[in-house]
Amino acid sequence: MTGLLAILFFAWMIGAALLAIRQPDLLQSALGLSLLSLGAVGQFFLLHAPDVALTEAAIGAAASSFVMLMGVRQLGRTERKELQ
Amino acid sequence: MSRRLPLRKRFRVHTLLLIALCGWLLMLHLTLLLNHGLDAPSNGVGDLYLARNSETASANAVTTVVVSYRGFDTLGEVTVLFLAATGIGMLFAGGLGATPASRDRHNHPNEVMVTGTRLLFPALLLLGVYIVLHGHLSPGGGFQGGVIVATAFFLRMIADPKFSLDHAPLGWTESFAGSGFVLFGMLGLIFVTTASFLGNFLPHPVAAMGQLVSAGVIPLIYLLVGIKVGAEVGAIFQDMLEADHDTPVSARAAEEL
Repeated sequence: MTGLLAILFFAWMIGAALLAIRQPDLLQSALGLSLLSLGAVGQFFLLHAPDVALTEAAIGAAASSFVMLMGVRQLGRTERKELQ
Repeated sequence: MSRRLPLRKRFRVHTLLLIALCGWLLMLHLTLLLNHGLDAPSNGVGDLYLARNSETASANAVTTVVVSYRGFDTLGEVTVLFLAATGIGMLFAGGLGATPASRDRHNHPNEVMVTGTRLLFPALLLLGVYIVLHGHLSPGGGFQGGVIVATAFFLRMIADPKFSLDHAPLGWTESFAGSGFVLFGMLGLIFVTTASFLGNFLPHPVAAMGQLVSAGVIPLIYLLVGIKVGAEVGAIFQDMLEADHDTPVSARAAEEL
């Protein structure tokens, strides 16, 4: 059961990472990073580390995605190619 | 193969190697997770800490390590966070000489944001304070609870353009908490019974383990860490919001958002 859940969380994290990379809309890309952190929260919880899971939920899923969203608000939602 | 590969092809080989490395790490993690007994004893220092955990009367062994056994590291971490907050403040204020930008009071957030924040703000505040105060009993503690409280205030800042955190009280709160942390460490050094930095000089009977008032000095230090982290992360959010409202491009981007 734990293994099945772990694989499920892995699939979730890979999907979220793909969303973060592939999505041209930067708002949804930041959302993908937040979802990736949410998958990591599940992983930490399965590994019997609720303290780390709580930290990841507070900082990875919430605070850092807020910082990303502030960046998106400043730079605009569309991915500009000339920045690369 | 001696002939030179084109750049594009070489890049692709690197990508393949990177993917293979990631796959190998994933497999390693999976085997560790699936086959390694989660409760099997290891020969690390962690078991030693777990065996000695009852002497501090703190129900959460992680908190014991963070605040008591490795308390000096925590002091360093808090200092690093303080430096990061200071750096972000200077970066977004545009150097030392610049005056802080006034926020745009005419930028109205939408209704979903306002109503949702009205619903979430008290609950988030309560959750943060709970996690800070119960750091020695349940998972979590000063760092996590402090960030949750700061997040609640950040939502409030976004939803209500008139609401902002003043930097001077934040700075005072933060210095008070940091000085308190060092003071508790020094008190542990002074008292004869502990005679070590961050020693647990308050009474901490093992019989009280699991109660709110237990584990002596540990919950007090974690409360101070929570106040300090909350003030610093709140200051970071406030800096970013001020910078956001200052730039001319933000108006157009905010409309897009």
